[in-house]
Amino acid sequence: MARVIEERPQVEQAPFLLSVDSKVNGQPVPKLPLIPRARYVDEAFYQAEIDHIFRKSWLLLAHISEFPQIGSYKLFDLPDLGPVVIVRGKDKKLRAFLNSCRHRGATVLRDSEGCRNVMICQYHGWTYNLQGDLIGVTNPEAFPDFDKTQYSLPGLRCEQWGGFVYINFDEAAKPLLEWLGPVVEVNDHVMNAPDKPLTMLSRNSFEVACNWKLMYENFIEGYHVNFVHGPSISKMMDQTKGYSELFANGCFSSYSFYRPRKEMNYDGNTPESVAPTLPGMEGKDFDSKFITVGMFPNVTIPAVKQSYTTFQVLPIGIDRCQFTYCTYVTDWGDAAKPSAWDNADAGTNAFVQEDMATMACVQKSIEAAPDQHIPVGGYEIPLFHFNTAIDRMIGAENIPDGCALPNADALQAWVTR
Amino acid sequence: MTNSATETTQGSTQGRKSRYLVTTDSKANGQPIPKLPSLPRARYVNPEFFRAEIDSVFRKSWLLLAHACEFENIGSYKLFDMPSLGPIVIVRGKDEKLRAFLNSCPHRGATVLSDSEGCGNVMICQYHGWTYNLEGNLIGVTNAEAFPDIDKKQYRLPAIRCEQWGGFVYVNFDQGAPSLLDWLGSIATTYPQVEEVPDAPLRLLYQQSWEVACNWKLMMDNFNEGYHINVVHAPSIKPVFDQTRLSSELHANGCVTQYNYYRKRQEQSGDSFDQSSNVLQMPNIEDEKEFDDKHVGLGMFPNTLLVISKNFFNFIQFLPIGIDRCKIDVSFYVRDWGDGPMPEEWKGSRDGMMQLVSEDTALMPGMQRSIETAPDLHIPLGGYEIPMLHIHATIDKMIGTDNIPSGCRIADPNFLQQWITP
Repeated sequence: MARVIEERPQVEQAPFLLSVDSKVNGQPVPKLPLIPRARYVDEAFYQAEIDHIFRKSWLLLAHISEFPQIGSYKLFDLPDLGPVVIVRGKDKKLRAFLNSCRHRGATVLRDSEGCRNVMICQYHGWTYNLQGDLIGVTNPEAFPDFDKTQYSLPGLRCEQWGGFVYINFDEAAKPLLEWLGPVVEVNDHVMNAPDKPLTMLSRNSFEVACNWKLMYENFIEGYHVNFVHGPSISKMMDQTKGYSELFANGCFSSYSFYRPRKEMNYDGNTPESVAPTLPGMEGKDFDSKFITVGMFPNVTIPAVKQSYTTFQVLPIGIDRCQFTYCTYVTDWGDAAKPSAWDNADAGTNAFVQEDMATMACVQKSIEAAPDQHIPVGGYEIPLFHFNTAIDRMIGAENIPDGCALPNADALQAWVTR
Repeated sequence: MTNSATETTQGSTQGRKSRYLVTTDSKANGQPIPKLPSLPRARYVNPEFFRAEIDSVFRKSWLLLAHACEFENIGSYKLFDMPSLGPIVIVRGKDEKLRAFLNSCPHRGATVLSDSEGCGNVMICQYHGWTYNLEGNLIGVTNAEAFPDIDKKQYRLPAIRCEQWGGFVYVNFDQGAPSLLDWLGSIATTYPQVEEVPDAPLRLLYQQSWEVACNWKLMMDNFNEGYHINVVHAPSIKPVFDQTRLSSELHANGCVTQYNYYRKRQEQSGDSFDQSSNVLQMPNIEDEKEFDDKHVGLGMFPNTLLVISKNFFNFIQFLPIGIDRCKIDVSFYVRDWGDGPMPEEWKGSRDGMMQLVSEDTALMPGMQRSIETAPDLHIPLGGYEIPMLHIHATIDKMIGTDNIPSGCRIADPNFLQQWITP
């Protein structure tokens, strides 16, 4: 166990490491309560998730490297939440806005990304600067006595950790780093090198016919690796060796171990690929393992020696979600793209397809028998932790009958604070 | 300075005491209108408000559906499937009168006509064959012995009010509604030229409908303000119309007249079938100088814009399907050219109209989503948007302030009252 956490910075409290045999620091964890299947099919529960979780949580959307210049912007159309733009201002700061003109609500940017000096509404041409201030009203004689300062583009909270850009729809939310809490302290050494020159190697996005939680849960447990991913990553990973650590607000890290090299039989990317090591990973033991940082409510970031990948799930409806993953690697600057990246997506795409095919079937089966309950084992402790954070954020009084976890505090004793 | 009240509509002032011309600089007859109330975005997303619109506005208003020229013979009929309202049939009776019915057999509710248009002597239920004449009377019950003592008079096809103005056919679901002409009021008397030609030899050039993923009011708003012309319609009508010279007149019951002036000929680029002199012009309007420099949009509350121009009549209509979905119908009428080939001018007119409307509809789903995202914001309105405010205020008056969910109400639905033409 010591090997797992050798580079892990010590926080105030000793770490609780949860292993796949349902033990914490070697001692058995009491049996976990069952998870009601109704959570994946109940419309009122879904609406509560949108209102109390997605509109209140910090949501990871991008990395600073995607906005290289003043005026660089990207649109993020978040289903069931709203159209968001992130743009770099004249002061070089990144800001987030609703892509929604304060006049009649049309969009002020149309192309999914680009670089602009101003944002111009496509309906009547009202013009906003990069700070979101309304600077031009078309035919101003039609708006006598108009106070432009009252009609700035609606701003969203926008903060960063480790170069990753988060937004929050809740004006009153705690600052990002405070919300994230110890997950930041413990993983800062891996994630936080804000000046490291990264570049987005690839971005893939799919719609999946399942509740968003099914897809997210799939990415926070390794129990299915040998079964679903027989043709792909099971040849590389030893699923029996995983550990995880739980943090406040549903966040977690997990430690995943590679098989010994001589056992590997996998033609995807392997740890010994020739790709450049990430700046944060230099001098650390990332040959035998990788760390996955779980960002409640909807992103996991596996950090391997050469890349970060953000796996993000966004709800579209009770039985549909949008799944997006982006891979970030060391920027190769003006040099030729390293050949190791030529077919870099192939390995990830292969196992993601395996997951997506499974999830659509799971959703249908859950809908067919929504009154049943899901037993969770040691591999699924982060999954249970994730669900307890959902219930605490929604609040017991707002959870529809039949959807609540029987005990949302079952893991609280082992959450690192 | 834009136009003044005296500059417009020489031919249309007869018989009216006072009228107000509202201009895009937010003035009425040259006098400034105070700051306009804003529109709550909640009006486009609140399901309760949507339900109130259906019940108190759409089920109580006169709705334009067709033109008399579409019902050529006795027995000519058309079906209008109105989402959120019901399936309607309009049919020409033996007495040549047009009548509207629900396409719904009083027996078990099946439809009595299935093809979207046609001509027949009777209407026959597709389920059990009950038969109705063109006046909606039940004249045949299949296996009559199964219904001893049935009084056929009690089982007429459900009738809907159906009246006409200028050959245009309107229906009303409310049996207690005022007559169409009383309801339309001054918007009908503004253009007696239209009213007086019900037998005009018109022809439906085309009719087209499709769905758009937005609240119906986003479309109605769009077609009642010219503020967006220069931005959205740069590829199409911007070269033809001078948006700064727009003016409008407000009528009772939410109706609006919009005067859309053409640019001077030498400033125009591109072709306009609006002003082509190669086609037969609309009867009674062909000699009106008033239509040389503009076309007139008649905003027929709640959901239709009827365009009167020298060369065509055209209406575009928006029917609610759900809070975030509506159906658009475009109908385009020209002077009937008889048995000859279609005039060249009209060959591209459908494509031109579809391009124009698609420039608008391309924006709408994104707008609906953006409004849903921040439904607590309010929309500031400027001078171009006064007709829009008039329509919204009329919606509120019809629903009744007390029945409107809080957060959806306009601060003062009577704000424009003093500038409405009596």
